Amino acid sequence: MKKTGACLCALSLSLVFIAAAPAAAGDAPDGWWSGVGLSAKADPREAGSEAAEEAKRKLGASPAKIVVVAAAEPQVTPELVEGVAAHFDRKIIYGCQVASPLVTEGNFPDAVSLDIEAGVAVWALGGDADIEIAVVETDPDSDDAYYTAGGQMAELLRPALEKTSRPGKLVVTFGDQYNGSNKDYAMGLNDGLEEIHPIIGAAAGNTTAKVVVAGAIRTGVNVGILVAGDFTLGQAMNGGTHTPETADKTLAEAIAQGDGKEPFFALVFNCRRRRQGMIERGQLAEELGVINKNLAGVDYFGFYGPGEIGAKAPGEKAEGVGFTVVTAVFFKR
Amino acid sequence: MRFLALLLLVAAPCLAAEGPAPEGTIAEAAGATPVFSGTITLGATFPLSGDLETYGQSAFYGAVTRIKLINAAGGVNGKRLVLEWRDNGSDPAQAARDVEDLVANHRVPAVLGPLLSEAVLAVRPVAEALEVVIVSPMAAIDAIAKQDPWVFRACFNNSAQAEALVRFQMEKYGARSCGILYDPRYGFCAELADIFERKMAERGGAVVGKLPFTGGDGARDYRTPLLELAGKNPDFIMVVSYALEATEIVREAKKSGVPIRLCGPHTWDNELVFDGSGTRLGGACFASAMFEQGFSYRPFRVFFEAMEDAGMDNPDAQAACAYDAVTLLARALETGETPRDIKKGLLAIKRLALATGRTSIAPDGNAIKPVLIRIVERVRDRMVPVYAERYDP
Repeated sequence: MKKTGACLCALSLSLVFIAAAPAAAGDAPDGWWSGVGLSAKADPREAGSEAAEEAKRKLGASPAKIVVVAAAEPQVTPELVEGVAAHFDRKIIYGCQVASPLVTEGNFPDAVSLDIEAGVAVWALGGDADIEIAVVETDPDSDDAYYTAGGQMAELLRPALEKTSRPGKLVVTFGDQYNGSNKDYAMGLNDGLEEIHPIIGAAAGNTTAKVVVAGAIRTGVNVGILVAGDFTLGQAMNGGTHTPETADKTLAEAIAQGDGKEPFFALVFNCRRRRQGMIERGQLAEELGVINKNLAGVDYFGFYGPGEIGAKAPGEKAEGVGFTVVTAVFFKR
Repeated sequence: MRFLALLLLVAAPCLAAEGPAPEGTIAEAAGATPVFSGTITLGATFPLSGDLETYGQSAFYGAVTRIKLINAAGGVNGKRLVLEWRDNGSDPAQAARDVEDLVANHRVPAVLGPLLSEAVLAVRPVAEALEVVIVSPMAAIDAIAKQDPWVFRACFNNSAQAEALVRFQMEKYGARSCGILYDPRYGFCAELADIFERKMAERGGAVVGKLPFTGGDGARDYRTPLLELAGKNPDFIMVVSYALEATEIVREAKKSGVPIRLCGPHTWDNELVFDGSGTRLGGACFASAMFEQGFSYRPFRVFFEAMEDAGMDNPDAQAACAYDAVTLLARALETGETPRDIKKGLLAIKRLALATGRTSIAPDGNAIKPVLIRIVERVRDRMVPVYAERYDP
């Protein structure tokens, strides 16, 4: 969503009168065009189309450079891609199966299952952000499959990282690096990039996880997307405690890194086992409320999945973790 | 009775007896039988009955499954692996006698097991005197390690698991203090309690109390020390015990209303703990050698699928460690088939991809490998242990 002056003005005013209000959407840099959509429809084609249409509407006039789809596993089908492709070029459609999407426009607070049966989120990014996409296959017969895949991903993305002159850079990655393997994958990625770069990501599942690659549904792959633009990042990662406070703390830490600026966009990846625990304790709606409170008015995209990749703070190496909430929040420079 | 069912599943063709036996031989290959040029007989002594049978039965299943896989793939050096096994009845002295018997009567160059630290300590002098290689799947006591070893292990040691657990509690939960409840009857527990206390201090944490739950007469009292520790309000309580006592302590924590988070060693990774502790186990974490079903790491996937194929739907860490102990021995046997060859082969192992993670064997017989942390999640009324973190050496 392109932030408008009028919109910002309204938010600023509300902050004056409601001193205790949570973070409001910050000013996006010129050239940042992004939109997020969500659908709860059961039919994959209809869900894909509805979520993509909403994302496209928010994206505005800018053509999309990449479209990321996060969908319930049963819905990751050719029909889903068809639905999204009704609004975007099929070749730029990427994504994966998720336990549950986690996006601005609502989510699934009443869900009762570990992995939801229906739910599709779409994030479209256009504008003048520099985008580089890389795809790496994992070798199921290799004992070092994920460290190797991480290294190959780094090799593919490194030229673009070195070439871009944009001050803000973030590698977003998802695929079959299930919790545990994501540690090796993140190590391979870090080692291959040689320098510490901001990385965030999540697992779609294990070796059978369905991943959307340029409009095709595949397994045994990981996708890496370099997003470069005129932004700075706040990053945080917390785990261990299976309560909504973990999400609250994580987002608050990342937002505080804006030195008073409000974020204009965020990526949030969260653990499906945490989600399961909160379902058991009746705390899921509370956690989703906590996320929305911290990111009030801010477009965000992410999902609950089986493994997260993130950094505890900017400048720290990303790690593959589990039972954790990871976030990267975007601030205007 | 579980053992009878398992035994019949994995070893039926080799057994004449209808019930659980104190000893036996397992040699068959799964599927099409390759042509072998001979046999290599390995010994095994596991606690298949007695207080600690829950560990022995899982480990036995893991070891036998691995041997069948190896034989199905052509054996080692073209020879079929044969397992001559004994039930030591959870008695360290019997484990030592088993090793003597296996060497005297079957001339085995190496023995799998015993499993538990106390039994391995009892076996070590026998192994050194007879010059037979011992590979324990899960004995973690640091005191086993020795230069020029005859005793090896497939799992991490107490120092490694204490370090990982302290890190996990501090880094993931922000813990700064703990209480320690331990079983002084066992050297493994007493050593781990001491090491845990030291590791907490090294990382700036406080131990509010370290209390035994058994007296000199062996009588157990969980309630008094639990309440005393809880009264000091630590961030968590480390319970150093074997499985049976773990279930009783967790239940007592619920009964006494102790709200403090519980934490345990690798001996908690057993279905007796998950099935017998009740819902208070939810949220507890423990050290483990196990990843979880669906994990992408190939050697673990292969292990898990093999165990499922063999009829064990939820293999635990003892099964995984015993499975890996066989893999270590099979790799070492490639060096040669005498005890000294096997010892040399084991000491040469570096970063071998085992089901429980990449493993190197140190000059003192220690296994240098990752320590995993599992958290127990409550899923409706079931307690499900799931992988949470991995600490590499």
